Amino acid sequence: MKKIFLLLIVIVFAFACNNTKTNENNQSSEEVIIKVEHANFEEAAINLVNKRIEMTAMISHVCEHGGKKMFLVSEEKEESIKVVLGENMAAFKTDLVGNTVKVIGIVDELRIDEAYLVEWENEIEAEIEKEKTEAKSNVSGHTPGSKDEQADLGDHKDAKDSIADFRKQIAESGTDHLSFFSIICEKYEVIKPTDN
Amino acid sequence: MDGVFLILDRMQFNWRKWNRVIHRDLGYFFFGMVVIYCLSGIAINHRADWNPNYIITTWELQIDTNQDFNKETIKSIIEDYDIDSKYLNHYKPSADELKVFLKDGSLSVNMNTGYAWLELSKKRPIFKAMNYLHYNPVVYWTWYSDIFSGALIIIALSGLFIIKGKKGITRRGAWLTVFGIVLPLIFLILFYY
Repeated sequence: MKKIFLLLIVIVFAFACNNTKTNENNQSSEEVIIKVEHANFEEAAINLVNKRIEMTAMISHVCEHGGKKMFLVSEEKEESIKVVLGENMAAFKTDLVGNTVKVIGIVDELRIDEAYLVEWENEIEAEIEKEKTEAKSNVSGHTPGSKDEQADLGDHKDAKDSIADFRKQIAESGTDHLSFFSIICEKYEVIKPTDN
Repeated sequence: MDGVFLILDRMQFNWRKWNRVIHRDLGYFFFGMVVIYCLSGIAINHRADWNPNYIITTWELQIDTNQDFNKETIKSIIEDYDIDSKYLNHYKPSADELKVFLKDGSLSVNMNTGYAWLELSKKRPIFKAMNYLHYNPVVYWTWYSDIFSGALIIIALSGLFIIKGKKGITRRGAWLTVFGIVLPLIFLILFYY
């Protein structure tokens, strides 16, 4: 029994050491950290892609299903900035909502252009075809509301509407793409309120 | 089938003993994990009926919006209305809305009408922590829960061969095992295929 306890202690210790080592590695590989204000992020983000930034802002929402995402807001700006959980990090806790945090992370860009939308459309078409085939092989006679009919009527209408909307936004933007920026979190620290 | 067990039993290697040992010790070791996943599983299954993480209480308030809403005035509102939670932060999600974050909740104010919605939440004991684990909070937990899942398969397989005789896997055990497999199959045939 003593051996089992010893083994457990060794395993827990090994995990703890591994975790500390990862944090140290992150520290040592840190390059320049650019301080960015929440209110200026949208304008500055295009020049910050793949760069490490530090931002202090308040958390307006934490994804309840798994805590993989949180959103930052500030008194000055309504728009929220998405912060995604970095690799090997523990999930964001929902209790963090409302707190001010200092986040260090890498700026990530999701670029939506015509190629992206065409690929998306092709995926939807393939899915519709698959659903039609499945429905035909499963249902011998035609029944209203069957899978093929649903597919024809457009279960994927929302996605198609989104694609049309993105195309419209791209046309209005005067460029050939839309960019959505987020921060891949490496570490964060809750700033304690000074007086309460 | 009985013949196979007879041959195995006559072998020098006492496989039944080791089967029992594995089943027993894995059962002891993963008892806590089974409870965690079962309780959080039930909690999450019924997410539509209750909030498995928080006990939430709400109030409707009417607030005078003819004032400048800053940290100090908001704090005094919290005191005036005897709200049992500390101020954390505030911001305006839109021109006519004010959101105040409290330590255990939030206050949303319609700046046009003064109608305010106060929500105070308390962590649901035990369930909140177990649900946190159920959602794979960190990669190390994912590894550990994978090991746990593998261990459950071993516990299930070894469990089939614990008892010999008429209540074992060759008779009563076989029927119960088959029924246990057929039941999910019926659900699959009815609702999946």
